[in-house]
Amino acid sequence: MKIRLLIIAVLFGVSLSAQEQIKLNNLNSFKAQAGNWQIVGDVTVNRHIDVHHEAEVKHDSKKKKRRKKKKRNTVEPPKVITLAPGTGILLNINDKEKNDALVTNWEHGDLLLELEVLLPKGSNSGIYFQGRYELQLKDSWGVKNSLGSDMGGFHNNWETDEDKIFRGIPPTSNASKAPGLWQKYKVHFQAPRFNEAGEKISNAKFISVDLNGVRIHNNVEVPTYTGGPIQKNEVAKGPLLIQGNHGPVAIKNFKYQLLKASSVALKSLSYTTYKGAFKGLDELNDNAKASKGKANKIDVLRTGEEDEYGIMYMGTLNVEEEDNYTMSVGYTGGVKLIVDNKKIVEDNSSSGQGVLNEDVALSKGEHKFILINIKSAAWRAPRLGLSIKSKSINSKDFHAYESYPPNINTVSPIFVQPDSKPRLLRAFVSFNGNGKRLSHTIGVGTPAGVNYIYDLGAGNLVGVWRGDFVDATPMWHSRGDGSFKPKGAVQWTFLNQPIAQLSDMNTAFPETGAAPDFVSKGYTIDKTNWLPVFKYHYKDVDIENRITPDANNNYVVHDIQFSKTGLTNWYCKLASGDVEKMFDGTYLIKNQQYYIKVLTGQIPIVREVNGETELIIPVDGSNIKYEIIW
Amino acid sequence: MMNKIIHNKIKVIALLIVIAFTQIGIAQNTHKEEDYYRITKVPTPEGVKVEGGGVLSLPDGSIAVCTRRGDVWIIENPTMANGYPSKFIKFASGLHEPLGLAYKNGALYTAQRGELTKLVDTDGDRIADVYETVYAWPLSTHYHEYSFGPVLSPDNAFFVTANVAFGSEEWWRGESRVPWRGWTMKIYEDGKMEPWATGMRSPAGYGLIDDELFYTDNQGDWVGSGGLWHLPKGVFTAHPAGLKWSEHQDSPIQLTEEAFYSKIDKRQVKKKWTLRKT
Repeated sequence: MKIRLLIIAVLFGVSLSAQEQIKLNNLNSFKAQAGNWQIVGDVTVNRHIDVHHEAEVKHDSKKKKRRKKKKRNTVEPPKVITLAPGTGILLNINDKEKNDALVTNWEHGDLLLELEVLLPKGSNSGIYFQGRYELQLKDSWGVKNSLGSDMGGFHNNWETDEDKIFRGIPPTSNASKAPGLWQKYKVHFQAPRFNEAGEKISNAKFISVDLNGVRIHNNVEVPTYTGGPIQKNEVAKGPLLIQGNHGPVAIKNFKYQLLKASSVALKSLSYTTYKGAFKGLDELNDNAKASKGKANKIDVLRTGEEDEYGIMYMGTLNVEEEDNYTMSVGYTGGVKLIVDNKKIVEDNSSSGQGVLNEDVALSKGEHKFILINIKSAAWRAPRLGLSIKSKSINSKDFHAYESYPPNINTVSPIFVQPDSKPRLLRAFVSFNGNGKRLSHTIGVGTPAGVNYIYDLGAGNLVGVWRGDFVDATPMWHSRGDGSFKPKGAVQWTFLNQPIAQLSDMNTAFPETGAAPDFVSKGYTIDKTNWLPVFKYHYKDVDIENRITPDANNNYVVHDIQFSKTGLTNWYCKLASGDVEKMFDGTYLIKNQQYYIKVLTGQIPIVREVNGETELIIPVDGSNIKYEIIW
Repeated sequence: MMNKIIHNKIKVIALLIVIAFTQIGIAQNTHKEEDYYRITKVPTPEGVKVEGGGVLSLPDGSIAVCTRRGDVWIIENPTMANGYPSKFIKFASGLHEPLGLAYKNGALYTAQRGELTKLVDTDGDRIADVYETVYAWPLSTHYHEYSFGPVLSPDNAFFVTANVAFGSEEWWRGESRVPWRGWTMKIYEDGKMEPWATGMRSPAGYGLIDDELFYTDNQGDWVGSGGLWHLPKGVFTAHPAGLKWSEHQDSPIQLTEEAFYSKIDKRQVKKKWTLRKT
């Protein structure tokens, strides 16, 4: 049952993606600006330097000044941003003279937007939808309780009129990453609607905002313009604006899709209902006719029956714009959709359930439409729905609400949170959220909200995240499936037994730990911090792993100790993927966007094995300590 | 003494306290539990989800209970002596759906889904600080791969029983995707594992009678009704899934999967129902 419901949710859900890509070869998509915006080929950030943008300088405290002084004494390069010429990245570096916003030379109503953004420490910007509703871009790394003015929030305005006050909406969780890392946004925006008199009849709405793969807003209305709009009003269409006066910001992979209202209509709709325990769609016949009539919408409840019915809708689809339309039919029982005498989708069953999607090229004009549904399955509720969309046209439903109500999960979730001490919980975990299911994994959540997943079967730290701990509903509700889901933007690492003796540099690390070489010994609890000390045995060496939050509770420090020294041809894998060495000795893991910093002096080696680039260090048995910063 | 208790998977934690063993000889009535035992509920603190998977009396008169939520509770003064309430101590937590408990030399042992774990309180605060893996076995991560036990054997080793998975072959047929699902394992303190017997489907009940191992199984495919099996080493009992590993070098079972299915129809029908969850 659970599986079936899931299928419906997945297929009928909005799976739109932004189509148009602004190539960022030049600034032609944008209006002229003072010159603070430019196109570059690469951007590297010194993650330690706070940019101290104007707004902060105004309120500069003594403490901050002291900190600034200290910075000057260090040997770090003073430059916050190092850029390389080229194309593909949009970069703002503002100063007192040049600090314009970047405004698109196109306007949008409903919009899908995807982009990646990079912010140095302390920097601040924002994406203004229609130039009026600001989704905040900010270095909010380490912020425990986000505000509307933090990364992913909708910024407040400073209006004093009662009907204009907007106090801001924070993201549901702080999914942001460390300064200097690319962060991914995916936004579905719905413009405000106006009647013919120009009065607003519905608010601007963010159908969804995802940051770094985490939903941070869902169906959130922004009732008026936020602080610093292009104009203090609300309109049907406006340009996209990126703030340029509060500090450096870089943007790449800028994709968007303009969406408009559907003009597809279902006309001259009539229905015939049938009574009988039909086992196939071709069993409908005139003798079984029960009723007939005219209708505006598809509604399976017209049969008046819970089961053993058939219903046929006939009419015309009026299409105003030639396009490639996606037709989605949701149903129970069996179903067939025919357009212009051509079968579009069919499930010739009487007890099925699902959603059938098909892309159909429709020309401007009228198209003959037939939809047939039967059901002979008492355990399924009557369901019939039809939605039509295209990549640039919003999805429109052609059914009555009760004929295909949205699937709502009414299970009370079981969340697990640490209290005053860390919380440990073993469960199956899917790597990357939907990848390989690991069997001998444990989640560790700390009261400060720095959490991780460790695979006891390989002695491997597989993922880290900040914020709430886990959702154990999949494990503990009803029969359960033994797994939990981390509640946050997990930075996954890789799947391997990360410490191994390799016969040569072309040998890969073992996929996972296996006896007799590798034997997990479980863990003990270190009562100074109530965190686990993981233990395993590999080739006659006892190995201990400690994974602890750093002093500021922003990232983790992984400490590995060995019972023997003088080990030869032993290596430890730190990361997978292309790496870039930063000036301070930190390694940037480029594809996944996190940093690795070795604290114990081993010199990392970058190698390629089986097509995979790895960051590894030699192991002689002395202590290994490194930071994972994300 | 401890070894001889037959543990059962329990849904509601009700404590059975023997107060009398008198025969109530009313011939025409079916004898009921309460004719022999008074059933007294041990009040559970609010917020504690028990969902008990194993229960054990400890030598000091406390009761240990392991829960599906992954905790091991020690209930001190469970008889509520002197009219004084019992005390719930969270001895361990974070375990993976443990389904059984055994006590040996001051340590508690429990079978999590994927391993036999030794829980020790080394510093005397009544909270386990050692979660030592005695032996870990593979899992395919199917929900039905529960593991039960352990039962302390007369030679101080541990018996653990392992459920089959479902769904790859036929929705209804138990399958052993990885060793030693569908088996009973004998595990020694030093981490050595001896495959003991196979034929299990969902072997949720287990115990010793006169130092011999017995188990009960859930009815389902190949197990027409629940039953009680005697389990000396090397036997095959009912469900053929575990025969997949009978040719493994450590297997004490002679019967092969091939030999079994040459005599008995596998009932392999078309895989129409792969979506169905059993």
